[in-house]
Amino acid sequence: MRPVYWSFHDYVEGSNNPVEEWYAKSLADTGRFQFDSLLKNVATPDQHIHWLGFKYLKGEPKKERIWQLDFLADGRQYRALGVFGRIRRQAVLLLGCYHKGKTYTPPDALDTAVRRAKNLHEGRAITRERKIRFDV
Amino acid sequence: MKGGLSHVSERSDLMSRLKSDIETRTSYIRAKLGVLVPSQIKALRLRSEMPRQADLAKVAQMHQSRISTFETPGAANITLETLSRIAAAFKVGVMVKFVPFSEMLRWENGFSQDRFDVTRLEEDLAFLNPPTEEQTAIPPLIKRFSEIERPWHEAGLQRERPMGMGAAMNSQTAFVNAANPAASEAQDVPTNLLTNHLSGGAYEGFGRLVS
Repeated sequence: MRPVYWSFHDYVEGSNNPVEEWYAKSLADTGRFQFDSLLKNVATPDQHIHWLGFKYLKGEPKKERIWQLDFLADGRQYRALGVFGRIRRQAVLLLGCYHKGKTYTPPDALDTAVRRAKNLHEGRAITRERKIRFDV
Repeated sequence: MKGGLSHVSERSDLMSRLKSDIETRTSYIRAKLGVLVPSQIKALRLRSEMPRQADLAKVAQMHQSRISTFETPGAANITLETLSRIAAAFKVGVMVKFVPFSEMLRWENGFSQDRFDVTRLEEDLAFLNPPTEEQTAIPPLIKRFSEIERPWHEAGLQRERPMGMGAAMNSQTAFVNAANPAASEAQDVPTNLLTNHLSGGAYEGFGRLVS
């Protein structure tokens, strides 16, 4: 089996895991399969700039070094927004959303991502590891 | 993606759905291809002489935005025609084959974009200069063993003198072949039984050829 370099973590608010909620409720089968495969894939490239669908966001999110992982499923352009953690090769997923033109759904996705990133950077939030599954 | 028992029940549920529902199977397959195909394209591009999407687009005679789309997970419904064109631009072949689900999962789990590379046509000697039928014909075993058992001096062979640890480490490749002086230039190229046989020279175990 190949080595896994990166670990992925969900941003957690209290007892809520908004990333898991998005995964379970907003994504259909294709989206979930696609997202799982994508995380498995991007876990190995040594450098994040080589991740598939990776891009740093511009504007306000740029100040917090927020990036997105793009993938398309069921005709929608989904984005998982995240930041890098304090530990090397640790990525924290802040939220999931989808995107059409300049419109994000939910519409406050970028603001929420910025707020969560700040919470993380200032030590006011916790994360939970998202295990990469090799059995499916 | 939770831990423990929920993983087991999630997996069990997924297996049931995969077995019973063609839509679930289609989604599952599409998702894996939707990542692994773009990832291979990106890996080959980054390792090629055309590391920018625009460079690849030019060689493949496509618009750069199409290359970008092909590298977006799940975005591209790449036709076999397009896949062939991209492969041709990279000077590599493509295999599309039907496999069991277990093999597809193994492929995904073992795939690493950093490590993925394919021999380009220019370096694909097995394709450019395949061994002739004569060269690939394996001699009868009895003949091979009899050659191995011949004394060194009778077979025209001599053994290099071991010199220190380095020589000891090279003992696997410490044999010489007087019958093939042309190969003496290749002293540092370890050869194995097959390639030695193909070179037309006598061989002894795993050897390298020198005059």
